[in-house]
Amino acid sequence: MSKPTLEKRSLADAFVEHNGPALATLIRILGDFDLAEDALQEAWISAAGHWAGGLPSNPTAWLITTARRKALDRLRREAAGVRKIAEVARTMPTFAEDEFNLDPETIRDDRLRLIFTCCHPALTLEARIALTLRTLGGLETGEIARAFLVDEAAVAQRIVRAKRKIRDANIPYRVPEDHELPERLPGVLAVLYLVFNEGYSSTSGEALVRTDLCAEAIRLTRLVAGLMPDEPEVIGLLALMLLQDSRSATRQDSAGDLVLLEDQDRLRWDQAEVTEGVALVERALRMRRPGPYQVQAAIAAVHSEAQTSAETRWEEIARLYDVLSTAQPSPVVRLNRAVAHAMAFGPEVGLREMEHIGGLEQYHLYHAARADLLRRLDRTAESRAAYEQALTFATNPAERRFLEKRLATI
Amino acid sequence: MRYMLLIYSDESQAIPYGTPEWDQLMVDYRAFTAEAQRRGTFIAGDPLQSIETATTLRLQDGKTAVLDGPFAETREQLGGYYLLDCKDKAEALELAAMIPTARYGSVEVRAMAGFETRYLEPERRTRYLLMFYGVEAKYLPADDPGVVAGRVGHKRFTEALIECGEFIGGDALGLTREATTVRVREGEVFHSDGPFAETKEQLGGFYILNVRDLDRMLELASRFPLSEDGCIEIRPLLDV
Repeated sequence: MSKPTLEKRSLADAFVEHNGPALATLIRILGDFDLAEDALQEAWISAAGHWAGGLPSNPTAWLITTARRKALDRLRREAAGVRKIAEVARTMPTFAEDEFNLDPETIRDDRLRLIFTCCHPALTLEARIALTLRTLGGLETGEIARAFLVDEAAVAQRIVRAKRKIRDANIPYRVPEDHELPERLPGVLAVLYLVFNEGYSSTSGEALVRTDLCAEAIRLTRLVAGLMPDEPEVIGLLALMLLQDSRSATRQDSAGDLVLLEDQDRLRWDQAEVTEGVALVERALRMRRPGPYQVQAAIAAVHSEAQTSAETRWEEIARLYDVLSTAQPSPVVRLNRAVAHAMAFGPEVGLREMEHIGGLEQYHLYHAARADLLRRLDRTAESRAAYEQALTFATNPAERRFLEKRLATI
Repeated sequence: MRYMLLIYSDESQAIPYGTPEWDQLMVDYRAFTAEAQRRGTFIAGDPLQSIETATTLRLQDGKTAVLDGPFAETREQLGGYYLLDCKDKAEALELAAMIPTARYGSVEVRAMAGFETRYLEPERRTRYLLMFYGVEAKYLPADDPGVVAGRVGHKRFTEALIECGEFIGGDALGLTREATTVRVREGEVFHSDGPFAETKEQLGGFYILNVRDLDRMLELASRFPLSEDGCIEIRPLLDV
């Protein structure tokens, strides 16, 4: 059921005809030029949508009525604003007091409240990410759009919608109570880790690592860790990010090609990040409330502590993956566990485990991992087939080049 | 007999707030409410906030998942409701045809099964409509032991809500096969059997609650006896 559309032309004609008269009356009624102009502009926005079905019988009167309503709304908002100003003024210190001595705890708590509001589960994941980066990270809409390679208008729309939902659905501006934290905190951490991962392993774009996003994720996680120093999972996530980030310079060679962990130049790992990351893992584990981020950080720490890839304590890593896959039995975790078992106990063990993982048929790293184990077992034809399958699903150019190179050597 | 009149229209074609047409719509609605009151049928009625404010809860892997958006994507969306106590279904249908939105949208008329209902006039916080959906066929026959047990669960949930003092009203609805959808086009009234939308899951009932904020609402909703194929949709009511 499509309504006849008012051509742009006739809306322009209507503007020429009705804007001037409507404005004059509005200025008289409202006694304020700016208010009249703004209100009329808003009325035109309503008209553009609503007049699509045909012009009202008296467009000038229609515009005046609508603009008057918009102006009244604004005045009402401003009246509320005046009350708000009075409230704010009441909470301000008098001149006799130190104006800059605002309770730092209140300021801190406000940021924490904002994080939980921005990452509320009643918002879409995309909206949570955009809103968090915009309001807490201070990123511009355009920067967020470029980082996630989406249209800027779409990001702006997501943010507007999310803010509207927060207001209209009355999503609270508060830190969840202790009993709610186990459900709500993982949601916040997931947003932060997603931002980091998008930076660390871009799904598209030429660069494999986008340091700007990684740095932003680390900064925000550091903020949350500072605000919730007793939450070991937050510390674990920060450690995990730092340890992964410490290797970012060595994950790609000068040609932009992927370098595997075992082939990376460990002397070029960022030692400051390694030291801080390892110390944070230890601090988190001492709290004796283990969780998935802490275990992943512990795995990363074991890698970081090996001077050479041959010195890696694979049995320790395999054990940590056992713990992780009990807590988080997702296919990807099971794949990583199989790889760790292959390194610790031989490729046949890992390969056997991989055969039993379902749901990763379209995941390029699953096929790449299988291909690698088959290659080690000299099952060349099968290995080649697996590499080819990996290539059908890989999108990142650097990862594709790596797989092509591997395929060429067998 | 109590009836829930569910008002659907295409939100993207909604009359914008502040325009003369919107004013006229409000005049028409006030007139309808006055008529419903004059007949002694009016219990409650509210417009809802936009579909963009909806939140849905579903069981996923045994845990309650909170999702942004409404339960179903439909061409027309629920924009408001009336809760009326009518002599019979004929009166409910007559009143449904008088609802202003029936002229361009749809009004679904559903009888209520008749659970505990309590209308308090509590301190105004944020009012939300909680709608629960399920596969209706699974709740038949009514004397099946599983169905009876399910009803006990609902009753317990309702009682808990009443106890916490945030309950305004709520009820299970009658079967959708007894529902009628009313539309008025160019002055002529059209009735069609069944609910407004054909969905896999059907609206089974609703609660109206007066709570602090969405978090409190989600906390209460998470105690609802959800089944794997059911879900809950939460929409804030619009204060006008």
